[in-house]
Amino acid sequence: MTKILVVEDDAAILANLSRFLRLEGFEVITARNGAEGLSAVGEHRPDLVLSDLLMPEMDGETLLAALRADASSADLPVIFLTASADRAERDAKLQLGAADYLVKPLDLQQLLTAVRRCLASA
Amino acid sequence: MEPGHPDLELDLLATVFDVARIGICVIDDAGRFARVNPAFCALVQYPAERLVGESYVLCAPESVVAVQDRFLQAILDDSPKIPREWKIRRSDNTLLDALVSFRSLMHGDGRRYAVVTFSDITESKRSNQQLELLNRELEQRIAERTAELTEKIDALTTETSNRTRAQAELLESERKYHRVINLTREGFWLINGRNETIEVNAALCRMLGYTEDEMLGRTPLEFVDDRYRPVLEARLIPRPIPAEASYEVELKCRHGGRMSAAYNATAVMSESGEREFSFALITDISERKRLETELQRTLSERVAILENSLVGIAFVRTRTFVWMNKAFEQDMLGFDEGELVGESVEVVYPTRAVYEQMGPIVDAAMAENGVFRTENRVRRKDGALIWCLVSGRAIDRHDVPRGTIWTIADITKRKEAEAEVLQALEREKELSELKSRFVSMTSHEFRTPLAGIMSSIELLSDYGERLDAGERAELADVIKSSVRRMTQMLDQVLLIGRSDAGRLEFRPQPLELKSLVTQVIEEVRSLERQQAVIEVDWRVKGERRLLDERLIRHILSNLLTNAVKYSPQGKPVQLGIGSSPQQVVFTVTDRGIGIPPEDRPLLFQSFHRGRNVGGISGTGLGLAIVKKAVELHGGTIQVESNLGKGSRFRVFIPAAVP
Repeated sequence: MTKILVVEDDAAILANLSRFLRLEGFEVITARNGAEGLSAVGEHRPDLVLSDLLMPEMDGETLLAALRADASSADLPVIFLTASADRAERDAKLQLGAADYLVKPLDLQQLLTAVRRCLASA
Repeated sequence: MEPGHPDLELDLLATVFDVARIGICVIDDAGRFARVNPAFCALVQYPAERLVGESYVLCAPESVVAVQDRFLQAILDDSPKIPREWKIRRSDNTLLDALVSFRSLMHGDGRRYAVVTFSDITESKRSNQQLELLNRELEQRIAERTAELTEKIDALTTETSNRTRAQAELLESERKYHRVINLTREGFWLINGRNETIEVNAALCRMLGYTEDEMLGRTPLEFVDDRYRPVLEARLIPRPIPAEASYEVELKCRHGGRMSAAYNATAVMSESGEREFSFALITDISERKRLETELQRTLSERVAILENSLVGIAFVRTRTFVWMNKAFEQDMLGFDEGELVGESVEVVYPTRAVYEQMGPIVDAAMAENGVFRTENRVRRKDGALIWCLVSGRAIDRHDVPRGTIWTIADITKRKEAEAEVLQALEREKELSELKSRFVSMTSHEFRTPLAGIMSSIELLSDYGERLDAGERAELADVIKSSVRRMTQMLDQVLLIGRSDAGRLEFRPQPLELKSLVTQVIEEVRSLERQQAVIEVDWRVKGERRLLDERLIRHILSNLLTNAVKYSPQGKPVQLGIGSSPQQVVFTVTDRGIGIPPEDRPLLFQSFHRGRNVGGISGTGLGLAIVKKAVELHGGTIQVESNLGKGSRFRVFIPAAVP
């Protein structure tokens, strides 16, 4: 079963996302912030990371940079969940090495499509 | 009678001897008188009997007596050394002068005898002497007279030569004077006591176009234009006072023209006080007059320009006002006309310190370029300060002390406009920042609950059958709390909006504090998902106070929400409530992330969030609302914080006991 790590500080969203992905047949690991997420990657070795950007402890960007810096996780696809409607900002995140980004509030079907696409090209 | 007859000869001789008027005596070689004749006796006033046999010394003067023997011998020897004029002593001891002749004889008895004749020349001597005296006197007088005359002649000669020399000098001087008089460009007019022209020089003739002859004998008045006559007439009539006067007149030239002249007259008085003559120096002042008119015209133009100028213009020398135009003195600076003249420029400087400070700076600029420009404030008479563009230029940059021209232009309006623009820009910037904060806040803060709602609904609608009742209930809860959260945020925004617009009201009512506080705590606990631990330290005496319930609610719920939100899970939050008769004090303490010092000044600004909030959600309106509520209630708020350690908010609310 494909493992997805969801890193999100809002409990409600985290719960809903996890529920949704599990219903769709993925194994879901959760983390409340970037730091938890990083250790979760090391521990569970997910196939994909879904990460919020603004989080306490360590934000999404830093998490991404940390993952890319580590050879074992350098190719791990990361999808950002961003609240920013600013296209330029979003593109900048892509430049950093994210595989995709999605804007909150999320369309769950869109999320599914993006996840499947990333996993296929990985 | 035949000559040679011895008896006749003897008688003749004897007769001659007796009748001769010449004194004759014969002296023997012993010096004694042998024979004397009557004339001799008469001379010496001795009778013959007395004399014969007497030494000749009896009749000799003292001088001879002293040397009688030698004298005698000399006589007897016919010595030529004996003088032929002797003095004889008479019986009364008086002396006679006599012309003497003598010869010595050898007598038959072998003895020598001297025959001496005496002519009384006393008289003739005396006469001679007198004559001589007279002669001498005469001679002397003549000499004196001659000397006198010589002196007089010498004097006369000297005088004459002096006079001649003086005349020559005078002539020479006259020549020189004439040369000067005729070379000078000034007109020279010599007038006698009757005001008639005695002499004029070439220049005057040239000026007036007349020859000297044409002018001689005529009075100057004839040449003066009628307009100026009365003044000169009063002066040119002889007066006892030596007069020196100077006038500007117009003289009539030969061909009808007029010449502007300066007429400078000097009168020379005789000793008796009458005017001997006077002379006038005439200067052609046409050119000067023309220049004066020109200058006057130029000056009028300049004055017009200066007075019409919109900028203030002043002429300053050695830091003192010399003159200035109306714009400077009266319009711009509010002084009375002439008030600034002679005043130090310090008067228009904002302060003495600035005056002293600017001195060297201006001097340096002047020395280097001769100009100085600045924008500075200038002091009006009433003490008000206006912003001016000040520009100074030295009249002669190589001689700065000669003076400087200063212009000032009032730029108060411009400065005000500038300030307004800056203020407007500042406000705009603030607003723009506010806007962007708001935008980024709402963007993030609303999307999260919306995301919660959306995902919940999608799950419910797409996967509802696969979810059990508990899960469906959870999803419903998510939706509800998300909506509540968004509503709360909206409320906050609206509240701030209302208070900004001044529409928030203060309505104190007697309030039961404890129940209010309890309510608020419950709300906070329910809204925040964390298990918030809020400890209450209750120290209020008497529970009812005059408070505005809504404002207190805003204050407490926001402070507590913040405390809980920004604290790590499990760290308790403390609420302390104290009171005094007139006020109530709320203290909220947390052990959360604290407030960075840079954010302190902006703490109560709308939409401002600490830079250390990370992903903790918040509108940035909480404290803004608290502040407004506190102010509206008439209270104050204090903040203490340590980054990473925690914060404490203390609110002092006036709250009377109802």
